[in-house]
Amino acid sequence: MAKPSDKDSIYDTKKLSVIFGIISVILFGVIVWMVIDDHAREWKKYQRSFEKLQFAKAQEELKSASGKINAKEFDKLKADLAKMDKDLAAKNKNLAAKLKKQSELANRVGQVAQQLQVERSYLDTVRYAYETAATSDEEHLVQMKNSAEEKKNKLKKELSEWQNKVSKNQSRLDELAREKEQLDAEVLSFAKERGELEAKITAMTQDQKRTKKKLDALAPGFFNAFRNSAIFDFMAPTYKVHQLVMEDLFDDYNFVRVPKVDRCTTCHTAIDTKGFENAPQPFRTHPNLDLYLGSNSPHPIEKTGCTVCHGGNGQALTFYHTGHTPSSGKQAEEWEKKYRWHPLHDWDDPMLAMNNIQSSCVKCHQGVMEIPQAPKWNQGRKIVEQMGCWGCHKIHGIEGIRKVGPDLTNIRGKVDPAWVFKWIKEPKSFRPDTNMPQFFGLSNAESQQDEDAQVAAITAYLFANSGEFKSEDVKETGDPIKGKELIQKVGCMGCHSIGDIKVNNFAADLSTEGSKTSLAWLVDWLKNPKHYWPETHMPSLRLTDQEAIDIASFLTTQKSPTFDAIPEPEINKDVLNKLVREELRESNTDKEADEKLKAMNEDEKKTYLGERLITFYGCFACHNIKGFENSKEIGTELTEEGSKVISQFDFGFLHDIPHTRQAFFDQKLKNPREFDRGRVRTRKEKLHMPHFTTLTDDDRAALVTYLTSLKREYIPLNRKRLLDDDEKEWEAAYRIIRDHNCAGCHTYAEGEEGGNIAKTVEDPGMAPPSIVGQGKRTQDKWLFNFLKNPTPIRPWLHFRMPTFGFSDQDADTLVKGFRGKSHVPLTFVDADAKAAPESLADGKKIFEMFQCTKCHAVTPEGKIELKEGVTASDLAPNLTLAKNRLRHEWIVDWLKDPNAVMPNTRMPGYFPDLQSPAPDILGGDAMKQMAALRDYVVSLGDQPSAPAPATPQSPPPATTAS
Amino acid sequence: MSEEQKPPTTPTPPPPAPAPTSLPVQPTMTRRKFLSWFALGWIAFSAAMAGFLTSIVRFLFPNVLFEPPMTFKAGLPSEYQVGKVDERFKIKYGVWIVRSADGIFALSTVCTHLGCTPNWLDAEKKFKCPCHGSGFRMSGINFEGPAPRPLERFKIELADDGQVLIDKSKSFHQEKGEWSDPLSILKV
Amino acid sequence: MDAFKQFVNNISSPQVLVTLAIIFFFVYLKFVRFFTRTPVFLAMLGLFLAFCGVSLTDEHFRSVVTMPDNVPIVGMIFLIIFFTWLSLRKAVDNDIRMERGEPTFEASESKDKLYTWPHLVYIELLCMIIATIVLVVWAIYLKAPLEAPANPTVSPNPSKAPWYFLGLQEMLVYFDPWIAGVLLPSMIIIGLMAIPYIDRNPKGSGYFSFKERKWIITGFLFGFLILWIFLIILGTFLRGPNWNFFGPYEFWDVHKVVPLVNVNLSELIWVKWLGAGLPKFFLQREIFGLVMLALYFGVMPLVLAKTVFRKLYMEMGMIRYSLFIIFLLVLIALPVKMYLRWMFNLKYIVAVPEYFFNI
Repeated sequence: MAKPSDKDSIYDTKKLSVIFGIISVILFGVIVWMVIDDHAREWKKYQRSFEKLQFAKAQEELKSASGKINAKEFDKLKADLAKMDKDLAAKNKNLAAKLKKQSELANRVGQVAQQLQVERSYLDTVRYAYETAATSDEEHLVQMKNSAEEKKNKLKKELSEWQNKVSKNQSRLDELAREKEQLDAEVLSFAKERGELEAKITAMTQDQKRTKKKLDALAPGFFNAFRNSAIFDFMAPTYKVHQLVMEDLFDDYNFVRVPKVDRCTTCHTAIDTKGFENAPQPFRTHPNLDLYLGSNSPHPIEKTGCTVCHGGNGQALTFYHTGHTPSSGKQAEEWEKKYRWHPLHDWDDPMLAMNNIQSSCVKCHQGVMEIPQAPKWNQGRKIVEQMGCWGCHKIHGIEGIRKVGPDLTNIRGKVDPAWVFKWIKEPKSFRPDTNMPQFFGLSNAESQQDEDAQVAAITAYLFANSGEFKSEDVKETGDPIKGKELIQKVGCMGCHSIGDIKVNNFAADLSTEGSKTSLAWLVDWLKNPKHYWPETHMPSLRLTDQEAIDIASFLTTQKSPTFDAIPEPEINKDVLNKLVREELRESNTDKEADEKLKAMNEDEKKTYLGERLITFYGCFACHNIKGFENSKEIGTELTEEGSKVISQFDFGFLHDIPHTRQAFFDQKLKNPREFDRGRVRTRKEKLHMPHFTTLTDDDRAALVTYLTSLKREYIPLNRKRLLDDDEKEWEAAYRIIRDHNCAGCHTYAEGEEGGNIAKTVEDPGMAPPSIVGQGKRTQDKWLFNFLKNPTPIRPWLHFRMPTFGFSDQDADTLVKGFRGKSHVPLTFVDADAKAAPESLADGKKIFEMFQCTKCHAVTPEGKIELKEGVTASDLAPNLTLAKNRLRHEWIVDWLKDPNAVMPNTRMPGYFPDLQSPAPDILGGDAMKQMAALRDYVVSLGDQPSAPAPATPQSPPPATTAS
Repeated sequence: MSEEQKPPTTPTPPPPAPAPTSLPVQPTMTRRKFLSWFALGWIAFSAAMAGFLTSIVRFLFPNVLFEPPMTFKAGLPSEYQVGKVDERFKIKYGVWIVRSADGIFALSTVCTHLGCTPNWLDAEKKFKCPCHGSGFRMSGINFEGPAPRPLERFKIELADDGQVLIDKSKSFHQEKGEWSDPLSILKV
Repeated sequence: MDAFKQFVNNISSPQVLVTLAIIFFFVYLKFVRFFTRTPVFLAMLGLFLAFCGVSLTDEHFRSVVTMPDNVPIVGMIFLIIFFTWLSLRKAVDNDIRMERGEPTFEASESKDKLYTWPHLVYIELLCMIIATIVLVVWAIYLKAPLEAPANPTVSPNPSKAPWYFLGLQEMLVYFDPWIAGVLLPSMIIIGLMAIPYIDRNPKGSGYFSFKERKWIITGFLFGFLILWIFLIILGTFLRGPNWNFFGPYEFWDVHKVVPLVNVNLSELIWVKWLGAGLPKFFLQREIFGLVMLALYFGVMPLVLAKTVFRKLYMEMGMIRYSLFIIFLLVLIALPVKMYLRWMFNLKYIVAVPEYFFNI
């Protein structure tokens, strides 16, 4: 057989043992390393730091708690206690005996109680048996051994026996219990005072004891280290993963929806704890705990979690894997250094950077025009609506609103082709703050001549397809100076800006209007805007003919020399031919295209090319144009743009911007055509989104936030912020309010901006009134009629409430909206005052006492004059209007506390703290007095109406002429 | 050695092995070495294997579970009336919140007999377990039926925002005298 | 440096690399006694290591080679190199011994015997421990590669099969999925199973020898090293997004556009050469391909039996020979088809899309 071979060293067991020893030790080391590597988690590091923080805080608390204890008082109490103990020691002899008896009694009571318990249960049993026997018939008793009678009697005897026993023991127990009570009270009285004293001492040191206990629990020690060590931390570690499981919020993993599990609080341990507002991240308390995360907030942390608002991977436990996103390049650099951060791979939805955090609100807050506490997002959405992005890019949720650009179907009646050419080529050359974007002259333009030909073609199409619109010739001469004054006085500045007056920019800036339209057109427009553009939001100011002519004359003097000086370029015929042929070639062969081209004259070429270009550029997205009534959106649908996979965004050769959606959006808005840089593309393949030149950096940031919010995400209905009926009514009305820029003249809601037109007058009394609480204040029918046909309430104001020409439905919506905003309940209880004549007399007395006529007129034709010492702020509405205009219950609220209803009003408060200044009228009862006064004021409206005073307002215009 | 010299088959029996451990002739245990490589190897190897096994067993104790949280807030103390048993958290957290003259405490809804859920009979002022008839007073003390000990109380204290905070991971047994622990009852 | 990288990238294409590999393979086996000498082997290995070391300075090379998925394949390369050399070296050593009339290494070694316990078992234990250490260290450093949550609208690019199927995935470039995915793997498996029945040559059993089993070793190594291992290496390191070919130092550009216009044989002949339209009936249409197949699989074996494999045919008999020749022809068909594709842009020899059958 064999011998162990010594020749081959590989089989030398001695050497092998050495190797074995060495590699076993390495194996052990590797296992230890494996355990350590698994045990050392990033989040434990943070929890350790947090523990240190808490420890420091607890130390602080202990110091302050100890500091609160008044040493002298404490010593005194302790001394008192010692004295008391000495006194008690004297009485102790008695006490000892009593205590002994007490414990004996307690035992006895327990004994008897136990016996009683047993006896009771037997009693219950026997009673049950007896009752069953007594009430069952023979059939059921067959099962019983004895006869029914026998059984019944036996049981009855047993029952009474047990009842006796129980009652005897019960009374014994009661006696003992009574004795015990008395004894206890005696013993207690001894110690009562002592107990009170002790309680005082305990109360003093309570805080200190509690904080000391907390401190001890946090102190680093062997036990804490052991319970958190590797392997042994399965029992009761202090460092553990914290998670919040939300059953009704989901993570969408494409094939499955998984309830969210947010483990953010593992590192962000104090996120919902007050007191860590100044701690370093990640321990800082969340801002505004009353709104977010607090248990009484609308977003409590147990129900909301973190990722539904912040995004990211809630189940991950490292800084990198959770998807933290820096909000600036600077922060990215910081994080790269500190956390070795880099963009998260393989995860489509990292956290939202803090500058886009408002993108999450709309998930739940739907159906509102503006989301509270989300101003950036609101701004973004507003820009999208008002700039008309939705015209080219379909967005679900922004549908059915009027196109944002003016109607071009009758363009010939308004401007001339030269103007249109220059405008289309570069809108900001005429009006720098226009919403119209720039289509030409951008970074991927082919050549100047190419673009000129295109613009000329579009212009040609518009004019060739324009309807006939003739404005009447203007016969009278207008006074530009008067016109200028009128513009500032009548209320144009509520929407428009001109020259130096720029308090509102809702409508066009009129500084260069003279370079655009003709006098005749302006007069026609001013008298009745709906004549030229039926869907315009511009109202009629009920101008007289002369006023209109004056204003129009002034506007025609406002020209833009630079714009006027722009020459109209020559269109290169070859370039035009090339373009037309290109277009023809798309639906014809070469030969056919050539033939058709030859058959066209110049105008036909331009018109044909114009039509093709309008189709290409999508002008109909914002403007009504003949021939494009049913055209569809030409741009990418943006309804779920925030969920679009990054690889589907075409960054082209722009490698220097980060590969994120936000960077794409920002670049697209900064210069849409930039993504064509470096690419070889035919004219039709090129990008054709126009450049919105008026967007500021803030605007762009807001738009990025809005676009990021367009996500596909499922939130169950019970978690959404559902609107109640009042809120729904208000939202419907708010759309109309925003579309017509009521805020240009009025403040319409508390906390909202508005009424900028007041900045153009010095006297605040000349500003349009606030309409906050309008629904509560005025009667519905009156408000409805007023909105349809405004009549003067405050004749001294030179600003005129415009006639907007609301449809019945719109006026209805507005009235309901104001009601909803003020939460006016729908009730059929008749609030109209029907006062008794005596009450009217009292009311009149009070009325005269308060000297209401100093500010209020009281007859239909009466008015208070503006004279020396009387400013507009001193004037108030005519009280004859009150009956049909004001809600009668509101009048009482107004009298109660005018300043609460309308802050900073000049109306005096006659009933401070509901105290009456007239103790002898109606028994000094303030409420009765107010009611009487109200009744009187309302009765003023019963006077026969004089014809309405002659005012500059003309009657509402006739319906639109076709 | 060339092939011809060696016999082709019938090998000679090997010399007897010097030691039963089948080690070669050289001695391994010398006075100088405390631990031979061989012994060291086996010790380290066993330690490594023990480490492996312990790591595997550690997997039986997950670090996170998707169970409902053990601590929860139960509203303000003012929401609980003296002498009443509140059942609003019975289903969700398995707790009755009882307020007596002494204070507020949280009773576990697990019957101490075999684990069923008793019902609170307000008319008779007792908890009655439907499984075997165990009865408990409002305080949780058992007084009838097979239950051997009173219902357990959970740790209860005030949270920072003034709400009652109940921690089900710590329970107090009356029969062990633990009901005198101040954490078992909230004095308000 | 850059020039070198450019050069390597430029010559990197499947055609060039496969051809180079085949040439190297045959040259190596032709001069196996020279190449298996230790200094020569070490020199070649050193060159290869130098190449790897230099290449690692390139970020693209590094990013591909250090991907956790690909690290085992890097290990495999070295293992294959070592074991191929070792076995051929042992074979050459034995050949030399036999030429000198000495017994083979295995024969002389078999006179010495050892105890299983402790010698074999102890060494096995040590190997187990070392393997465990390597695996644990590997597990700590290279985390399992998880990709993004599966999204039905987004396919990962590139989508690669596990390494042991990368050879087949490469074949899918040249063959119809049925052939590359079903037929060829089945042939491989059945072929391997059939070896004991076809090859009854007792020579080379139990001892290494190259000279005595030259053709079978060459054939097998060709199939294993070139058609399996080398294609795996290609698929792992040189195939990138869209299954495009990328040089070792090339950036994996997702947008790279490469012309991939291939024509079927029937189209080539009917449309391009004859100018007639494609006949409707598939038998008529594919007649050329079918004829070629018949020649290759039907006539060629007969011809070979009479000529090159005459002795073999005599030895094996018809059945074994038929099996042998079928497997051999299928094996050879792979590189043949690859070259047809590269030279003539040939897509399918026989294309019958009506029945989802193409060759």
